[in-house]
Amino acid sequence: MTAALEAVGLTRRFGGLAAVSDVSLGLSVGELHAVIGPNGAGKSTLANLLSGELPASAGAVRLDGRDVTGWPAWRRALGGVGRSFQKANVLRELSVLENVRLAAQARGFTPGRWLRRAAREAEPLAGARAALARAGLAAWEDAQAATLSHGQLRLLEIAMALATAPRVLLLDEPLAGVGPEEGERLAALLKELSRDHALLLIEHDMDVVFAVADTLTVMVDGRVLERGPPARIRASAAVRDAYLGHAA
Amino acid sequence: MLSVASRAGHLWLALAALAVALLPLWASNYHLELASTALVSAMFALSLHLLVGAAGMVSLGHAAFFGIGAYAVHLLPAGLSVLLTLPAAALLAAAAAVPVGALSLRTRGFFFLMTTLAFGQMLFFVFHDTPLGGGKDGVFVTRPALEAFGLAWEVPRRNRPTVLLLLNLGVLVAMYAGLAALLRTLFGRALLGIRSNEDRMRALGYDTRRVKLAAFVLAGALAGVSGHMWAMTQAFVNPELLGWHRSAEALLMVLLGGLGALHGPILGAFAFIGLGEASNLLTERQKLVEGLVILAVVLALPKGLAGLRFRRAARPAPAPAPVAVEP
Repeated sequence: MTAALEAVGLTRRFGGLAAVSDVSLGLSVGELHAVIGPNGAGKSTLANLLSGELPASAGAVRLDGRDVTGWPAWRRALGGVGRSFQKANVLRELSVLENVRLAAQARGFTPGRWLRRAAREAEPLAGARAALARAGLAAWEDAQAATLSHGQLRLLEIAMALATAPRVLLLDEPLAGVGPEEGERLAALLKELSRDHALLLIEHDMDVVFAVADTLTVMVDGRVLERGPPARIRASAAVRDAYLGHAA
Repeated sequence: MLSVASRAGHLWLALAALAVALLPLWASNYHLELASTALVSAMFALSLHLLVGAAGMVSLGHAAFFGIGAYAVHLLPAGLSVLLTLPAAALLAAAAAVPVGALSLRTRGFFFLMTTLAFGQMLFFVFHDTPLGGGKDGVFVTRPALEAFGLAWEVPRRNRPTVLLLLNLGVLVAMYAGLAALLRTLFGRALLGIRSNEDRMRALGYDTRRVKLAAFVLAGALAGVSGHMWAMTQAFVNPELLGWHRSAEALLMVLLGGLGALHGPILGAFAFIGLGEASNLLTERQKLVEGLVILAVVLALPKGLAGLRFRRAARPAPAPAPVAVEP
């Protein structure tokens, strides 16, 4: 199986510090790939390099085999890379529905269609409502995004990522701050999404990670320490020393 | 966020427009000319509002496009129909806005403000220091002809203020209606999204710089239209039309009227012109009075004049919409 999104020797230096160094990984549709590691391991930086938020210092990113290393974030998004952010990053002044509708509108937003009446464009609206329903936010579509609770903002992030109809999903701590019940529902949603998306999950909640991930990559100090199925990671002495040992 | 007035709000705006249209029945020519000045200022502030209110881009160089639109009347052959000079002024201003926008949109926020200021002053000095526009003292221009499809309308001198007032009113109404419609399009919604959170819009797949450039060029074209109407109204142009003072004045009008409503700059322009006139009549310290009043209004009304509501205390107002709280 060829990877939908592939990183080869990806490196990002901030001054003298290598936040991410020589990381390679492949994300395939049907696979839930989780990245774990202690704070400062470079997980979010990796997500930013994959989505194009940050330019890479070295290495390459390939989307469906095409080199997209030089592409800006918006072009990668149109190419099928959707993402959610660690810190709630939404359009606070706008309604929940408009947040997701704008996400759904992005794909068909060519200059020839700029002057169409937004209210008459059924497709983005339907796409937005479907994404809201899937994330469990349908009842909140008229609320202003700024008024949502922390957990609801996580759901809105996911709904926005889904509404862009991506093939690759990069989710940066989607469960942070979500209540236990909502967390369980979200974990099930992640598993479901991984069936038809290539999904990269960055997450701190180890119970969830080990329950849903097909493959785990453990990062420490910007490098890949270990990679494999959950059972092998759990048994790895190196991982226990470097990471799980401290957490326990 | 930038909202378009409700149905009731539009009724009030329509009544206000009607009142302006009926001014010639009783007002003196002096006051008609003053009203025309306010209408042209309102057009210019409205064009700036497309940048500030809709896209969140605060420019201090917007008057350059106003001035270019005004100088278009001087540079084009005299006696052309307004149907030719008006689009030509808009096109010239838009053509200038393309490179200025493309370069200054590489920056954001404060740096965008400074870059637009620099470009604006550069264009100011082109007209101030070269013979291109007739020199630093300005020149009288021939008003474009009211002529369509071979039918010319010679306006007697004493009716001219009335005709210009109605013409300016028509252009302002058309500009407002066009912008209100624009905000309802996919483009308008994307602009509002960019104002709210540009980085997020990029992550969603929007080439935000291209969208902002389109808004910048359109705002420049509309400023050119305003400048053209200025030159047509005054029959005089000078380099000060491009100066940063005028950009700052328009920003004040936007602020005075309210950033959250599309019609805010229209209210702001009329208030600003009216305030200038009133303080001029009442005192010799015109600028001081103006400044204090504007300061008071901005402090007392965070949503500007457009946020004013006249409600009877007996009837409770509907619950206010949830207000965004910044963290």
